[in-house]
Order: sequence, then C-alpha cells, then structure tokens
Amino acid sequence: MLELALVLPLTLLLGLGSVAVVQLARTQMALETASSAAALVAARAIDSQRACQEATQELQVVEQESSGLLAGPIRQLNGGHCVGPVPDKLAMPTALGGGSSDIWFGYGAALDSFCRIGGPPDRAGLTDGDVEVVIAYRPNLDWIPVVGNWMSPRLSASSVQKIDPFRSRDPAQDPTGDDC
Amino acid sequence: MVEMALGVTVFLLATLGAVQLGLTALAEEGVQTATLAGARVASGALLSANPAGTLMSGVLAARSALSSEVAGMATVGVCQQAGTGCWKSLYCVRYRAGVPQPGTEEPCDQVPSGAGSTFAFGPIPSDLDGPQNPNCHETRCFGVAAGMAACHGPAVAGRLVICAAYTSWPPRAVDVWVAGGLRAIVPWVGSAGPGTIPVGSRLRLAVEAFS
Repeated sequence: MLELALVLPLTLLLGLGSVAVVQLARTQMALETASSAAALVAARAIDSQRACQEATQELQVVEQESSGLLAGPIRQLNGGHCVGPVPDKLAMPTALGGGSSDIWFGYGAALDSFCRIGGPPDRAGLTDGDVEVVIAYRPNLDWIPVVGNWMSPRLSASSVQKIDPFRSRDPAQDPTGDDC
Repeated sequence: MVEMALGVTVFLLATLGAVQLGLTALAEEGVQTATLAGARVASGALLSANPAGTLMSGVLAARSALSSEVAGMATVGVCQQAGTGCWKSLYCVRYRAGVPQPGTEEPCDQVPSGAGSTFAFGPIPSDLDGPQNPNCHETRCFGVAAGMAACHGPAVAGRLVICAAYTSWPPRAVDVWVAGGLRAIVPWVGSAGPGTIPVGSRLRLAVEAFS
C-alpha cells in the first residue's frame, strides 16, 4: 500500500509533466507560426495602419483555431498605435508579471518603410523595408499541482517579412495623411 | 506486485497519451504551415491569363507541405468535387470594371492569352470568396466560394482537404482553407470515441502586386 501511495502521485506528476512539456513545445510552435503568418499578412498590406490591423486579425484567427492552446485576450503594445520601433520581445509585459495569460502582440515598422522611396505614392520609386511581428505569451500551467506555476515559462516568437515592394499604396487610404 | 503493475499501466497510458498529443501537435502545426505555404504561392503575382494556374500552384504547395507533416495521420485531398468549384475545372468570365460580362464564360485553361490584359478573365462570381459572390451577404465573407464547399463538411478521420479561392476580381487577396480530421494513433483512444481529431487553418493573404 505504501508503494502504491508513492508510485501513483509520482506517476501522475511525471505524466502531467510530460503533457506539459508537449503543450509548451506545441505552444511555442503555434507562436512561431502565428508570428510568421501575421508578418506575412502585414507585409502585404497597403499601409502601416492596415498592416497592424490585419496582423491583429490574423492573430485572432490563429487564436480561435488553436483549440484553446493560445487562450487569452490579445493585447497590443503601445496602446494600439500601429507605427513605431520594433518592440523588444525581452521587454514585453509577460516578463514583468507572473501568471499572465494575455497574448502580447507587438508590431514594428518604421513609417517610412511603407513610403515609396523617392516621393509620394504613384510616383517614382519602390517601397523598401521590413515589418516585424513579435508575440509573447505565458501559458497557464496551474493545472499541474504544486509545480504548475513554477513551470509556466514566458514564450515568445518573432518574424520579419519584407514589405511587398510593388504594392500600390492607395492615397485614399492614408489615415496618417503623410502620403504613405 | 499488483501496485507495480498498476503504476506501470498508468505510466504507459500517460506516455501514450503524450505521444498522441505530440504527434497531433506536430500535425496541427503542419496544417498551419501548409496553409501559409499555400497562401504564399497562391497569392503570387498573376503572370498569365489563366487565374486558375496560380491557385493551383498554391494548392499543390500546400499539399506538398502537408504530406510531409501529418505523419501518416491523414491523406490529403485536393479538389473533392468536380464542377466549377474545383480549380481544375474552374470557369472564367470576362470582367469589365469588376462586372462579369454575360455570355463570356469559358474554361479558365482555355482563356486566350492575348485577352487584353492579365485580369481580363477571372473566375465566375460563385467561385469568388467575397462580395462579388451572390452568396456573400457580409462585408468580410470567408468560405462562400463554391471551391470552399469541401472544407465546410464535417471532419472525416484521416482526410484533409485544401480549398483556395480569390476574394475578388481583379484579385486583391486569396483565401486558403485547410480542413479535415486526423486519425488517432492510440488504438484505445481511437476505438473509445474521439478517433477523429478535427484540425483546420484559414488564411487570407493579399495578392502580391506588380505595378
């Protein structure tokens, strides 16, 4: 009886631990794919604002299709401003607090990278630049007794894509009014 | 002895479950990656008069990626239904200012290459996945094109389907949808009920532009 009392909890913990490791690997893969898809969608967008919105929409779709793997609201860095420097994934908020299951999303592309080199849209020049999407997430492993909270690491992924250089920027859809 | 047997059994079951979980995870990610690969190719700039050609390349790219990533837990079907919804037998129609011209339908692979411009002929409206399709009643439709019908059905164990369509004509984006079910590899799990693991991935990607 003593053996059973020893073996069963240990086995349970080992089993749960292996499931958790698989879940973490799975989540990391999901983040990599999500950032890759979001960056690709963003790079094909018509301007920085749209790029950010479409990348967020893509993340929402990936989240819905992840069967609960990526569970939590998507929060955007910089209060929803879509233009700015590429966020540092090591400084994303999940690193600061424990137990957060929010999906932090950062989008970075210098505004000028969506402008055509050489002048406003429909004139000479090509668009040149990169967009980078960074995602950070801290999955909730509290379902593992005793060690669950300790095992919840912060996962992150980032992906860079070249902005489609031939995309026609539509001046009618220029929310910032800077010809980009 | 009995205790040891119990412990080993529980341990083995947990290990098998983890293996199933791991393989499923790999396959699920494979589906996402394949969607990405397919969309990337299908959204390539149109260089010929036949719009089905680029879609077909995307679907084949997705199938190629899927075949190597689902670890034998599913077969990949392309173009389940014959008819206009299938990229192999896509029908095209001449467009003027985004409006299809009646009486100009013909198989996409027979569209004359010197038909005026690359975007002169496009898929018939029911093969488009956006507001030009009469079945689309929202601003942002997904899966309304005839070619997407195969991806709407219930998940069948061991069967994945790839669907692709342009959202509009002239093309602004492509929709790629991979859907289906994976076979459970653990015999006990397979026979006890959840023998089908539904998976799916959708992506809308703007068409690459040359201007």
